[in-house]
Order: sequence, then C-alpha cells, then structure tokens
Amino acid sequence: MKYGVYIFFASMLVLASIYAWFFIHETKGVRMDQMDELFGFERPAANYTSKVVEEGGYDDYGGKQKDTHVSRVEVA
Amino acid sequence: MGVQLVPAGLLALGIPFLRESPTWLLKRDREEDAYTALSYYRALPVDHEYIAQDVAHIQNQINSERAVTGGARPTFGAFVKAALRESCKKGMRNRFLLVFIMFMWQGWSGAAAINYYSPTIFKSIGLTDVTLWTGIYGIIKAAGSIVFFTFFIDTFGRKMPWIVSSLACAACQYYLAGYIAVANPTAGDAQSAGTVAGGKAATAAIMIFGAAWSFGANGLPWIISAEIFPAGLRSISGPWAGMSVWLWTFVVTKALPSMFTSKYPQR
Repeated sequence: MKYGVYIFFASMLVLASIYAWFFIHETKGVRMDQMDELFGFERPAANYTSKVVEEGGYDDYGGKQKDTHVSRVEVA
Repeated sequence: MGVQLVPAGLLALGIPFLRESPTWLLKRDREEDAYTALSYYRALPVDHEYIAQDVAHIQNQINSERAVTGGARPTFGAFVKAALRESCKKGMRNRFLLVFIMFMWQGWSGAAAINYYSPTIFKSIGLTDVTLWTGIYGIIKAAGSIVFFTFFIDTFGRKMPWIVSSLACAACQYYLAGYIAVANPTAGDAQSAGTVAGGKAATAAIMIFGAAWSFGANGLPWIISAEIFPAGLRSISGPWAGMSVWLWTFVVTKALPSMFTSKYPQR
C-alpha cells in the first residue's frame, strides 16, 4: 500500500488553503454589480446602473433603452 | 440497479420549481417576467428596490454586450467574439483563472483517490464490511453538503470554509499516510491490537475527510463560479466551469492508477 499518494494529496490541500488565503476573495453577500469592483474590472458605462437607480436618470445609450424600463426603475 | 435513478428522479422533481433565467428574459425584452422570476429567486416582493437594481444591472450588462456585438440578436460568431474579448480583459480573465484553479484544487484534493479507492483503503486497514463503510462514507458526504450549502454557506462565507476544510482534509490524509506507512495493514492478515486501533482511527479519518470535504472543495468551486460572472458572460463561464471540472477529473483519474502502483515511496 502506497502511503506517498496520501502525503501528496494532503500537501496539495495545504497548498490549496494557502492559495485560498491569498487569492480567493470573499464573495459572501457581494452583489452582482459589486463583483466587477471586487475583481478590478472596469465596465464601460458602469455608471449606468447607479445613475438610473439613484437619480432616475437617462441611459447612456442614446435612447436605445425603452421608456418602460427607465420608468420602472424610477418607481423603485 | 435502479438506484442510479434516484438522483435523476430528484432532479426531475425539482424542475417544476425552476423559473426561467432573468437574464434570458431581459434579452428577449420580457421585462415583467424577469421581475417575477427574480422576485421568486430572491424571495422578495416584485417591487423591492433590490429587484429593480438587479434588473437595471443586468439590463446594463446586456446593453454593453449589445453595444459590442452590434444588436439585440447578434450572430453566434459575433457573440462569441465579443464575449471572448471581454473575457480576456483585466478583471475578467482573473475570474476565469480563479475558477480553473479552484477546480484544479478540487481535482487534486484527494477526494477522487478516496472515492475510487475507499474499498481498497477499508480493506487495507483491515475492515471486512467494505460495502457498509463505503455507503456510510457516501452518506456523510451527501448529508454534509446538503446541510452546509443549504444553511451555512452565507453565514461562514466561502474563503474560511475552504481553508478550514482543506486543512482538515489534509490532516486526515497525513494520518492515513502515517498509519499505512507504520502499520502497513493487509486484509486477512492477523493484526496486533495496536494496528486494529490505528485502523479504527484511520476509518474515522476517512469519515472526517468526507465530512470536511463536503463543505469545501466539493461544492465551493461551483458556488464561486456561479456567482462571480456578469450576466452577459454566464453562457461562457458555465461551460468553462464544466470544462475545468471534467478536465481535472480526467487528469486525476488517469494519473491515480499509476500513482498507486508507483514504486516510490514503497514499503
């Protein structure tokens, strides 16, 4: 019986936990739109969501948005 | 033989409780249905602020996707091209890498070694009732996963359970290695009282491994791969996760037999 196999896998698990400590971001309770920020992604026109939701403003797409959508968000 | 039908049957029973994907509904401009679906999944009222923000966010992502693919119904080629370009950007490629590496750790966690070879292990530590113990090991893993991912994942998060689980699993395997190295049990041979006691502890180590593994590498890579990607890329990130898990399963399954029959280290 080969005990080396288990030493190998156990050591991989230790490496996995070291990896997790440094590279796994805690994503508990992180909302969909906060993931971009967490992973350092700059979304073009990322201000769209906040604009519509917070100010009830207009879209950045030259009116491509249907009016129903914007008004629905304004209500909220 | 009909036992294999049980998981498939449970899956089939769950399907009526699924709602259509909110992202897909918004892509088809079925906004009311998207609100209803999200409200169902979030267990929040349709007019809740959170739901409206989710819809606005998905809409935003669909719009930026349409802006690069050129229209509401891009051709398959145009969609794949735009999605690949977005996937390679800073802040997106690290997520694909994270998923790939987490499934790599899952593959190399040794669960496959214990799953496929637990009967051998039970025999080698002197147990004769192999089927019973394999069954108990399976039940511990299934029950542990269901309990953790239903009730505790949003209390403890992802990072700390991963670390605790990995270290606990590692401790169990180090013990197994030590026991096999020292006692070198063989099924059928007469064993000393010390070897039998050590074998009982080794069986416990396998069971603790199953319990610890169930809230770590077992499901966490799936949870993370499902939640970190933007709506517009999920049709890419889902298959990517699937590819990662099967690639590493293939590699580990192929490697295991030669690992077990390797000459070194040996006694």
